[in-house]
Order: sequence, then C-alpha cells, then structure tokens
Amino acid sequence: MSEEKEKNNSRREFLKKAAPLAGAAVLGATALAGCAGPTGAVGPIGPQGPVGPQGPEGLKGDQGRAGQDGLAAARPWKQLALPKGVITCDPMICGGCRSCEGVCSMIHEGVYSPELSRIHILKEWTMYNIEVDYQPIICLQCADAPCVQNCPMNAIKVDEQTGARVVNQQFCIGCHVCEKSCPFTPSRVSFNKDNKAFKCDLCGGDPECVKSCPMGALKYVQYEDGVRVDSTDYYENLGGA
Amino acid sequence: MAINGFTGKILRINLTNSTVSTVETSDYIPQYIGGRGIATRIYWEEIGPEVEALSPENKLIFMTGPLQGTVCPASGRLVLVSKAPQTYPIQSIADSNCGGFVGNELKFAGWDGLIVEGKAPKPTYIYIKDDQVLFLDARTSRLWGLNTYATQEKIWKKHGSKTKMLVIGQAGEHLSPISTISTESGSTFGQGGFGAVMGSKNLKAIAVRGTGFVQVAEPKELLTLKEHFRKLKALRFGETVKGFQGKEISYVFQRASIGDGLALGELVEEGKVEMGYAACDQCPMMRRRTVKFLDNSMPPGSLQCLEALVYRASEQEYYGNEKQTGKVQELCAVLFQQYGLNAWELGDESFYIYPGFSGFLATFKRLYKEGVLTPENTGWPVDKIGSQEFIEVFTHDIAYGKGFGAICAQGGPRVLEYIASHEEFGPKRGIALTHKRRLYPKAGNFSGYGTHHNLGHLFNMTQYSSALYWGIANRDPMTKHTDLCVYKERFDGLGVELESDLWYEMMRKMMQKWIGTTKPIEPPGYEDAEIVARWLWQMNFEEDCLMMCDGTARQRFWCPYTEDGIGDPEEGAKLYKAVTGHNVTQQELWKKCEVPWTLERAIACREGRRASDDIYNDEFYPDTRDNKGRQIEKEMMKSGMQKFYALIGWNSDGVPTRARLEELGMKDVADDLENRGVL
Repeated sequence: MSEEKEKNNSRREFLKKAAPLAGAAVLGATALAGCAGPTGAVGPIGPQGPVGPQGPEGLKGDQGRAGQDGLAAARPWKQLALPKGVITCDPMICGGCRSCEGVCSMIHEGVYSPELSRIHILKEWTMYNIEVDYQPIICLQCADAPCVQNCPMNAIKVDEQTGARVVNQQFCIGCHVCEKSCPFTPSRVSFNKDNKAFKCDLCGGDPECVKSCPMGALKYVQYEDGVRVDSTDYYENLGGA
Repeated sequence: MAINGFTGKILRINLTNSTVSTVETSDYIPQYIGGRGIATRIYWEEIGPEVEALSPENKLIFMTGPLQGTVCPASGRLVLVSKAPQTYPIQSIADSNCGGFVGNELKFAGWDGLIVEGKAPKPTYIYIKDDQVLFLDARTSRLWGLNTYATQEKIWKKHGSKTKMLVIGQAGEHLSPISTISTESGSTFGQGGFGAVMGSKNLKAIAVRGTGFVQVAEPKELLTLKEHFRKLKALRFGETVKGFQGKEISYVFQRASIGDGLALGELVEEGKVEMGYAACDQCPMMRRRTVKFLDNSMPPGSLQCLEALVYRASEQEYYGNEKQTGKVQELCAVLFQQYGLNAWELGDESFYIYPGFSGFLATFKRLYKEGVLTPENTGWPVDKIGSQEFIEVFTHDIAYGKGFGAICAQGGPRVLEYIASHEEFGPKRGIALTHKRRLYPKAGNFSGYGTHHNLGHLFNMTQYSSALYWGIANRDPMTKHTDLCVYKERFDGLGVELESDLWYEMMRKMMQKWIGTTKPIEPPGYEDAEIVARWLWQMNFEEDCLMMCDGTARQRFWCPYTEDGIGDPEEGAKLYKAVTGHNVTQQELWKKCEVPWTLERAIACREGRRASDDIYNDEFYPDTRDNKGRQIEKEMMKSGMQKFYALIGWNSDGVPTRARLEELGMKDVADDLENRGVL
C-alpha cells in the first residue's frame, strides 16, 4: 500500500514540475501515460531488472540505482546533464498519418522509410482492429538514460545545446545493449541495416516531426532548467500496476 | 535499376504454379508516367478483349506512381486496373483507387507494382516481405470465410502489426460483381467489383511488409513542398493564417468529414460515441473518423464519406424520433466494410435528390412503395427498410449469395432487369427498367455504374462539360467535386456565395489562366465545353498517374488560406519534379497525361466501345436539369461529343485515329487496332 502511494506521489510530483512550464499539464500527462501504455506486457531490462515495485530509494534519481543488479552492475552510473526539452504527443488528436516518420527519416537519411525514423506511430488495435488511438513512440531523453550509461563504447553522448542523448555512429559497434537498456517497448533506439544505432536527437533543438505534424498533436515542450524524467518514472506509469 | 521515385521493378505473381518473376519499370516510364498509366499499358499488352473478368486469364494490376514511397501529401495510394465484372453488360477495363498505407508499403518492399495472374488451386494468401514472396494457405490459416476486419486482425497477429494488406470479404469470395478489396478499416477499391476478381483467383489477401525505401531526386525541395502544401490543405488546431482577402482564418473546413457531425453528431454530444481521427499515409487532412460505441451496442467502425450516409434517410424514416438515429447507419457502414460490399452501389438516397442518389437500395424502397417488391417475393422484410433487422439480412444474403441476395449481388442493373422480367414481381414490375435507366444513365453496352455525379447539383456550373467528361469514361469519374466550382463551405463567411460577382471573378481568373476559356460559365454555358472536358480528363489522369489523392489534390485550386483564394495549381508538376527530377511545367504534364488516356480509350475500343456507348439513356436527360433550368438535350450531347472527339484526335466513332496514336508514340497500338478492324 505504501509503495502504491509512493508511486502516485512521485508521478504527481513529476506532473507538477511539468505543468507550469508546459502550459498544458493535461497534454503532457496524456502523452506520457500514452507512451507507457505498450510497455505494459513486457518487462524492460533496466538497472532494477524487470518491472516491479520500486523501493523509495529507487525514486531518488540517478545515485540510488548505481551498482544494482542488471546491465549496469559493472560500473556506477554517471550524472548526466538534463535535456532541455521533450517531445509530447496528444494521442486523442493524432490521426496516425506518419508525417512525423516521413519527415524524420527524410531529414536524417534523405529517404522516407518508417524503419529509419526516430519516431514511430504504432496503432493500438482494439477488437476487430479499428484504429481508435495511436501510440506515438517518442524518445523522452531520460534523465538517467540507461542507453547512455550502458553503452560500452560511450558512443551515446549528451548534446551540450539540447541535452539530447545522441548516438555517434562512428563509435557504435552494434552490440544492441542500448536497445535492450531502453525502459520502453518497443525500444527507442533502433538499428539500421549497417547495424549502427540511431535514436531521436531532437534535431538540434527544433524537432522537424513537431513542425510537420498536420494536426498539431506533437509539441516540443521546452524547460529552461531541463526536464527530469527518470527511467523509473516510466515504470510507474505502466498502467498503475 | 532504381530510378528516382521508383524501385524499378514490378512483381509478377503467378498463382497457378506459385511462381514469381519481375518486370522492369523502366520499360514504361517516363512515357506512361506511373500508376494508372503503367497499369493501363500492361493491361493493353496482357489482357485481350476475349478474356472474361472472373477467369484465370484476367489479371489484377496494382500499381504505384512516382509519388508513392515519398513524403508527398497523401502518398499511400495504390491504383488497380483490371477487367471489371461490374461493367454491364459487356465486361471492360476499369480502374479503381485506394488510400491507406499499402501503396507506400509496397514501395518499401521494393516493388512498383503487382501483376497477379492465374488462379490458385486452393484458397491462398500472399505474404510479401521485401523480396521474399510466400504463398500461404488461407484455409489452414483460417482466413477463408472471415470478414475483412477479422482477416486483417489475423494477419497482423501472425506477421506483425506493421504489415499492410489488401483483403476481400465474404462478398468477394462469393464472386459478387459489387464486392470490394479493402485495406485498413475504411479504404477500399470500391467500383469495378474487383473483390470478385480476387475471389475468382482463390486469393484472400495480399500482405506486404517493406523495410526499404525509394530515392528521390531532390529531398530538400520535397520537404519544403510538403510543408508548403500542408499549409494550403488544412490548418492545425489553433493555427491562424492571414488568408483570403487578408482576413484572419482559423477554421478548418477541409478536415470536416461526413463521418463527423452529419452522421453521428447527436450521439457524440450525448457522450455515447467516441470518435477519433484516422488518416492515410502522409495525409495532411485526416477526414476519416473512427467510431466506437461506449456501450458496445454497435460494432466499432470507421466512417469517411458516403458509407456513413447510405442508410441515414431510411433509418430516420423508420425509427422516427426515437433517438435511434445514427446507430443503425453506423452498423450499415460497418457491415458493408466487413463483408466487402460496395457502399456506393448499394447506396440509399441519403440527402441527395433523385438523379443524384447513388444506389439500388433507394430503388428498392421505391419498388416496395409501388408494390413490386414484397416480403414474399424477396424473402426479406422489405416493409421494414430502415431497420436494423432489414440491413442485417440484406447485407448478409448479398455477401453470401443467398436467396434473392444472390441476384442482388450481381449489381443494380442485373437485379432490376431480373425484377422486370419475372412474373412474381407483379404487373407493375416494368417500372424497374425505368429506374435502371435513370440510376445507370450510360447508354449502350458499357454501363453498370451509378452517376457519381449530379448534373442538377447546385455547385455544378459547367454541367455540359461534366456530361462530356463523364460520357467517355469507362467507369464513373467524380464530376461533382471537380475544380469547376468554388466550394461555398470552403470560403464560409468570406462572401464567396455561389454565382456572386466575386465567385464569377474568381472563376474567370482561374479558368482563363489554367484552361484558356471562360465560356462554359458564361450563360448559356454551352460553348467550349469540350476544352474544359479535356482539361478535366487531363487532371483525372494526372492524379491517377502520379497518384495523388482526389480528396487532397482537389484543394489545389480553391483554398481560403491564400490572399487570392487559389492554392497551388502546379502541385502535380512541382511534386513530380522534386521526386523524379523531370523538369516539366504543369501544362506539359497535363499534355503528357493524354498518352495513357488515349491508350485506355484504345483498349475500350478494342473491347467494343464506340460513340453510341458515350451518351445517356433517354430517360436520364430530364435529370440533367440544373438550378437554372438548363437541361442537356440528346442532340446536344451527340453534337458536343463529336466536337470533343475532334478536339482530342478521335474519329467520329470515338476511336483514336492512327495519326493521333502515332503522335503520342503508340504506333503499335494503332497497328493492333487496324489488324482487329477497329480503326
């Protein structure tokens, strides 16, 4: 029971933090809740192992999890600079047109290919596959960023300007550890046909997907002091299990 | 070899012996541009006039254009050209277009198109994953016999939710000439009856999953254009622009959908229905609505256009004010989609008036009132048209070909002729033939399609041109929503009333610049009609060859978001250049479209079509009266058609001349026509 309470508190705190800055608390909330949805069935690999109840120490942030079981056991986690913004989506008005996927892959790869996009639109199929809601798969640039922490080559760096976690493909050895570290399912890190990782880099602070959204469902919410979304926050949002 | 905008390969699937081979796309471009152009050429080469629509010799030719696989607005389209079982009484070439995502997915898989030929020995479905093609058993996968929604769900579960597919429902399996091929929940190849062609090949579904991409000539330019056209097509929520005559505009007419307020508005307001947006690939407009009844009293579905309205009038009439309105209508749309039935063909009167109404359900209502149809001779509760009970048995029996449904499944003209010729329908049964000739107005041997236009329609100021445009078509082009009318709704509150001075001024400016004549809108409006008709045809083929969406491309002329109220008419040429690198002006591109258009006519002529098939049935002429009382006379139609033929290089019998064919680089076509004695 106390754990339950703790979780709710933490989530509320996060939302409180986001609200005045976003100017649209509801939007932020739906977006984040929506993002966590599809992870429900699968336990992502993270510093705490598969999804489970979190102790209070888990909620403190980066330090609390260093040295625990899992992929990160080998070395302590670093303190990372916070991202300056986050892309949110309102699934209620998202119509699933894949304009964001198209523009993202065009900007980064010069071609339209949903496979190579850093943002994905997944349809949530209800009975008899009617598309009611769309689940945008967006990287939220975690504060503790397991993908950054676990990369054996330090190929994922924090961009100084935007705070985005950016892959330097030059150093990527294709081990897929970042993909598996991601607290989301499907993973926010993908691999191209050359087996090099790629992920959302916030387009240098002006995301093209947001600019191209014909409905205005995608928003780039900026925070001057940076956003603190720990990967544990995602665990909590897994349908309030 | 990959070419900009194309993958360079077309996949040929032989179902008879489960083999595949490839065809080079470069054989057909740039002469045939893409899409319907290439498909028409392949049809010319491979499907002779003797082939029957439902025989193994007929082929389904699915094709994409240069814009598919790119980020062009609404690019997820696919065109299908094949011999159509719906064309009546002689089966002939027809094309059909479909939205959704499957066109792009096919390009991602590395194919510009599919040629499906032969007949599978047992129920089959095809799974295409990039260059892998699997022939899978549709019976052991338990797909055969399922409706279109359930089939897609099963395939998604098996091959992943990113798989896009074309499926048929029970109507296609039972070879109904009014059956459709569906993708997603509401996009279909509707007219033509191609579901039956797929069913006759024992093919339940074509599932595609691609991981590749298509190269484009100018990616940066294309992205700029994407944003440029997004701004012209529809505004975001909360966005305001300085639009027509410098006024601030923030409303989004373009996104309005029939599925929206018109159909289910009351139920949405009462909180009984949840509606969401659904789009085709890269669409800036999002006109489709998903519908979910929160109390699960009706199955979920999606609504966009006519299917949302086919049962509206009947339902209101039957249930009166019992607040039932909307529910059964939604059920009706879902049943059509699930069984894979052509909603346009079965349509009700909806809110249109008679000549504009669409399908034979409305005729049934009339025939019941006239005493021709009774519950006894049909086996259906025809006294309860409008009820849930009726629509359930009606769609079920048609889809499965049971009882009277087996005759209805053959399509409107055939069922109305059946009624007129069978004694159990009573002494007044002859009236069914009159209905038939008004509902399917084309005279001669190549009818079978409802009007898809309404010559008496309020918007239509160039009805004579529209009539010529419609007359020579193999199917039923949409004459109602052409650019020859300024939509009042689009300029809501901006003073552009129909036939106001401002309206005329805008129309004159547009027509002078892009068509070169304004006479068709000046009273009496009978001059230069053929020039406008030619332009309409050029536009039609431009859209189908590049493969732009009718719904979004039609925003190119009239757009409230610009100072002068005109969007960007050069949309086609600009996108074509950015994707393929071919530098053409819009006028040149329209000119190029005359190649596939003339070829399609040559095919129709090879199948027996002549000038006498291009005019209306006598009964239809009174229905061409417009809001000013002008009516097209039979003689006028004939003489206008002759002028039109002369303009586009066809002889007086409606056959393209040798000189014309050679001018367009199709000497082989002229030779073939001459050998067959057509020329």
